[in-house]
Amino acid sequence: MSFNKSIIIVLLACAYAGRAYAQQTQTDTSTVSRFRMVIEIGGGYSYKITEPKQTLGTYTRDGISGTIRLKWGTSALLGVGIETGWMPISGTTNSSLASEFGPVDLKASLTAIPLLALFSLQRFGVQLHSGIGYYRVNSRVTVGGSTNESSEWDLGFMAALGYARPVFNEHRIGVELKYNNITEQQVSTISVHVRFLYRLF
Amino acid sequence: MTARVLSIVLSCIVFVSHSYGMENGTDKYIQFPRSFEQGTLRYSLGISWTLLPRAIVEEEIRQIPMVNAALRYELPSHFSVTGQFSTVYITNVLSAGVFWSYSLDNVSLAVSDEFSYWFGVANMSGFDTKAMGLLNRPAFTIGMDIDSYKITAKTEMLTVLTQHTYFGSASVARIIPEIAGIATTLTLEEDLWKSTFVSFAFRANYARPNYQVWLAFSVQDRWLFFPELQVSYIF
Amino acid sequence: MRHTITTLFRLMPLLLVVLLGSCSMDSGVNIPGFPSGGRLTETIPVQPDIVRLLDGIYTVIEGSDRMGKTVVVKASGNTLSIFTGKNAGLFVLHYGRIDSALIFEGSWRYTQGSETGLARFSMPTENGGISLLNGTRSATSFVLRGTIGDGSSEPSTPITVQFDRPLKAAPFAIIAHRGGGRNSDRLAESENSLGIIQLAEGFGANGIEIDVRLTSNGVPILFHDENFSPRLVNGEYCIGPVANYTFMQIRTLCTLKNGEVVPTLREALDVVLNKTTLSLVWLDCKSPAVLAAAGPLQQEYKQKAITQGRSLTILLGLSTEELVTEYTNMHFGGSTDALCELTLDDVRNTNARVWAPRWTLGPLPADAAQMRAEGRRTFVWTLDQREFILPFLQDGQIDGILTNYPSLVAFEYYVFQ
Repeated sequence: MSFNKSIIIVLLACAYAGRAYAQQTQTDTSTVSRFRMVIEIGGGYSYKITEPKQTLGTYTRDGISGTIRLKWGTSALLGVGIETGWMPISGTTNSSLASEFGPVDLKASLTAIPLLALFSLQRFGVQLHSGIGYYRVNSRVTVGGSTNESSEWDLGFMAALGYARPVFNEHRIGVELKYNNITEQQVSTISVHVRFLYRLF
Repeated sequence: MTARVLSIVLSCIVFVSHSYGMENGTDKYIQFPRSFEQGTLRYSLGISWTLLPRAIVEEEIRQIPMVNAALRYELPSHFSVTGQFSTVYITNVLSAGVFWSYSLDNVSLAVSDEFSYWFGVANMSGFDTKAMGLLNRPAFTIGMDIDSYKITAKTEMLTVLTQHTYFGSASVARIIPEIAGIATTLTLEEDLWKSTFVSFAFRANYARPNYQVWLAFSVQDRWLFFPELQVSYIF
Repeated sequence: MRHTITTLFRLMPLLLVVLLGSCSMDSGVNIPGFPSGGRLTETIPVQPDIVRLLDGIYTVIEGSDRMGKTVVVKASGNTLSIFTGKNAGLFVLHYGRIDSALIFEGSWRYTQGSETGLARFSMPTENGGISLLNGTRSATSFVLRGTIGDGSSEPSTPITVQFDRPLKAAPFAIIAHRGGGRNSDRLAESENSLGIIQLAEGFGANGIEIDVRLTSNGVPILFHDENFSPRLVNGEYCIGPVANYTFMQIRTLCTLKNGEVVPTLREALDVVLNKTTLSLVWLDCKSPAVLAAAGPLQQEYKQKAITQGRSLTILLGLSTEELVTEYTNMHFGGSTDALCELTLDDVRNTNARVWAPRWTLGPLPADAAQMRAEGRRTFVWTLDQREFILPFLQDGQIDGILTNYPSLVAFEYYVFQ
């Protein structure tokens, strides 16, 4: 899936969520009038949609990712919060990579931990989230028996559309489609998560 | 050290604050293009955050918060005068303008024009530099009043009138009016929580490198995208 | 209506992040080429020494709206370059001959913008071609006639330039930043690459500045930034400090932006010595530890240049107090060619051959004159605008300029009376 297609899908989904919220605002403003705080844990499958500019062996671009959110809202239009989690990005293995040094063993992986400011909106069990902030990107490479781990903070953003329904008391479960972009590294992933939401107060 | 200082300076974001203060019963807004009580002075304080193009700042820091202050004074016949000051110490912008608005039900329109004088000073390791310039910014604004929310879209044209640069004993003056870019700002003014009125704004600047990055002395002759976030407290 | 606007507003944070993504994208500039090799495929080679006779200041007879009133024509390597003051234009032309006429074909670009196109010139027999091919400068003026076009379209805008006077012979250093130019100027070769070094002379430079860092296993490589990033490299596993990676890891995992390998300092000096006629290399040492690795290479290539009869100066750049301290503690400290960016006292204490103040301090003619009196030279960095270049040329005391736009400095230097 191309970057542009991903964006269009997410935008359409967001527009739907926004419209749902707008309609609801007219009839049910009482439900958004009080302060609330929610913690949310999600996990699922992630896929890196950015094409690599070079491949050096067997390339993997998917894995299990997780999300933790703490968000609060009032009667204001936008709710806010923070998000972190875990994202696998890609991996490469090659037991005999041809190089100027002769055949070399190669094993490399790229992962990220997001730390994002979160903007949220939810109605009818539909949640729209967008986030902006930094990703702690981690690279671990082994080339010719020499291993190096390196990390850096990179600017990026996130957009997600989810649905959740109550199961009992303050608990809800749901699913979410999520798009992450590490702008500085020009890396995008898309994820499908199962979520558990607990309303703290 | 010089690279570090330069990185800070390059991140001096001095686009204009888009929050003006206003008290109107329980409602507060300032960017929204509707006139308010004649003779009333409104003001606000806030910060902005801008992302600079890599083409200019390269590996240096791309973003830094900047302090903004703004005021609006209401005149007769739907006219207002506006004033703004933005600073990050090394780069400063002082603006003054006139604003005329017209309201129809919950939709309001405005036309405005603003002159900005910017100046920057860098006296540090490797720098003995000053710069200053004059900008003009005609703008058109449309706003919509929805429940307790005020939503405003403003589009302005950035025109460079003059620019002077001083480096050591030498100086260079440019007095060639030229269109330097356009900017569109989308602003929400709302009661965030218990009568705490704030504005959130997103500004998309599409412009040639200008005073925001004056100390980079960029010669990039192309329009680049500078996104900006602004948050202000409305008094 | 109101719901639509409300909905749109709710998308604001999303729009922001989408636009954030877009702002990191930077389209390149595609320098066009003639289809099927152009007319040059019909030509026979001409010796570069012959074409060097064309070097000079030329008056623009036709096409001044595109070229300005005066241009500088200068041959280097296997190309002929034309530098225009207007729009900081640069033509790089290859050449050959058909009978007694010389044919020049290539491309032009406004170096500080995106505009580019094809260019074709010729020098017919009656305009000096015969004289040139005989290896002499004609008593009558050389005239270059040709056409230029926009983009990849066939050149059709007529241009005529006529020889006015020869170039100044003063040994002024026009030093190309990062080997020839920055990635942000969207050049055909990456900054600090072996390819860009070979283009530098065509851009108007007679010297280069290159950035030297050490890998984790002590190999000096050319790389500007402290950290890897997509601004400079392709290779998603190369992130964080360059100094964390071994040379093998770097060469295996990433390439420069235009696909070139990250070069070693040795490879770069080899190219300078064997594939260019550059006379100066400024090594911008990015950490004190670089000195121990770069110093011996400096000496080795200095000797190789002497052996080849080449005039080549390799300067160790000292830009920080830490580098100065390290340099003075080295066994070769004070006895080798160095360039110091700090104070005049630092220049003297390190016995640096060159003082390199930042241009933002303004012209400092008294200090530069003092340096000359002590047998040292003064290079100013990094000057990229005509208005800022002229005051330094006017003061007459500096010996060189580091720039991202060598063609612009070359034009201003040669034309400046």
